[in-house]
Amino acid sequence: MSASIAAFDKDGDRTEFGLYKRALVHQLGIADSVDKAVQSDASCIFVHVLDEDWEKICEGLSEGRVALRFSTAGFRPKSPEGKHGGCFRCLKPTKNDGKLTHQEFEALIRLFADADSVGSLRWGIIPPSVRGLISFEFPHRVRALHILLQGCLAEWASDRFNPHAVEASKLLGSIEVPHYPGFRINRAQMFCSVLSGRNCNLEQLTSADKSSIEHQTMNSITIELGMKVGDTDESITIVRKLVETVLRSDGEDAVSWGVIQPVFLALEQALGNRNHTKP
Amino acid sequence: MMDAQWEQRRSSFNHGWLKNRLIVGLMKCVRVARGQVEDQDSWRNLSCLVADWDQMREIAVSLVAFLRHRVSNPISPDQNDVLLLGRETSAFLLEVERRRWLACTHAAEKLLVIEEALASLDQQLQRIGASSLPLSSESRRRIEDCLVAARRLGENFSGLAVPRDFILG
Repeated sequence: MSASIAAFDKDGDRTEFGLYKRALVHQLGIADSVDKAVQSDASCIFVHVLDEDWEKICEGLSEGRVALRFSTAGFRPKSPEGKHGGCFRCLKPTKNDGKLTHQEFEALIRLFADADSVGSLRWGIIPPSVRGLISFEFPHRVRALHILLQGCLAEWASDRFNPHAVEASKLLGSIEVPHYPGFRINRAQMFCSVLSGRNCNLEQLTSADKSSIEHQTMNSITIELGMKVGDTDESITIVRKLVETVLRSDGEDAVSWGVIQPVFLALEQALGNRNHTKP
Repeated sequence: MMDAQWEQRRSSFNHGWLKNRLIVGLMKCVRVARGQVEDQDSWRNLSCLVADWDQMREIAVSLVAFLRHRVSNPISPDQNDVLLLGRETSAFLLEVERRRWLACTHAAEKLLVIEEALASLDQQLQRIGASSLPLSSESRRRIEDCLVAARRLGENFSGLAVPRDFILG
């Protein structure tokens, strides 16, 4: 598919999801050693290597070239590495639970074969096609929000009189929901605490406070989702609606199913399997 | 925030030692024993890895113990979360997260396989440690059994995480 990408797999793994086999399927160049990969004329190298060889790549890759490291266990979000900031890691494992799909691997090939997209990546902008595959920020706030949304769904799922009980239960994977009778009382307040990251009383916030919380929350969530501050995207629009609803709510019911369910779905997608599996 | 520490230790044990060193060392010995390759250092390298096992076993056992604890018990909320959201709410949110983790990762089932594979690996490595050159056919079979147990352990440890133990932390 692209002559500008070469691959090196320390295991020469020819099984379906091994890097070597994936590279063959997509007609990438194959390097038979780390040194040859680094010295090749490919603008990008995909590698499955040990730490010491990754250090060698980070040190030796010339300016303008990029490397993407894969692992059978995946990696945590990490800022670009290397002497010239051109070395990235793929979050998803090549094998096992939550493994990189063939479509996702193709999305990575398309990204790394395109000089403009690679340029954006180096500036810290993650294109939508590879969100969840490459990230520089650990999504602390997104995950906190996701945990709170799960709690709201659990509350609805456990209330058999709630019209959304069945759908909420399905979204949670039909788990047995723990009992917590008092959860609903402070829902808007809890969202406010999680969004602001501090113990603030929603009723006592001034307009300026709310504006500041909204601004900071949206900035950090945008960055954690791999976008640039100011970007508009469907998931950002959905999250913004929740934030606005929480901060402008004058009653508990404002933070309703109609606001929460789309955010939950958007964050599930953004976090993907990595919400429960890690490198 | 024990979850992050556990993940680091799991990754270091599973990827750094088990997969990249022990399994590679065992595979070399198996190939040598089958006459597929010649490598005079393979047995010596494996002996060094077996000598590391006491220390590595301790790490593996502590990883499994923590995993078992997470599979069986609710998570005690982080103090900052308690201050922010209250103890009962924090505990509820973390319990929903834990139950989803159990459902999504099949952690309880994996734990059983991991425990079994770890016990088998331990037994085989102890026996290999008592072997000497030239290897008997029984020792060669043990190396192959050990490779099976090591792979099984590695596969089930791969990509496994423990549930998040804080909300905002």
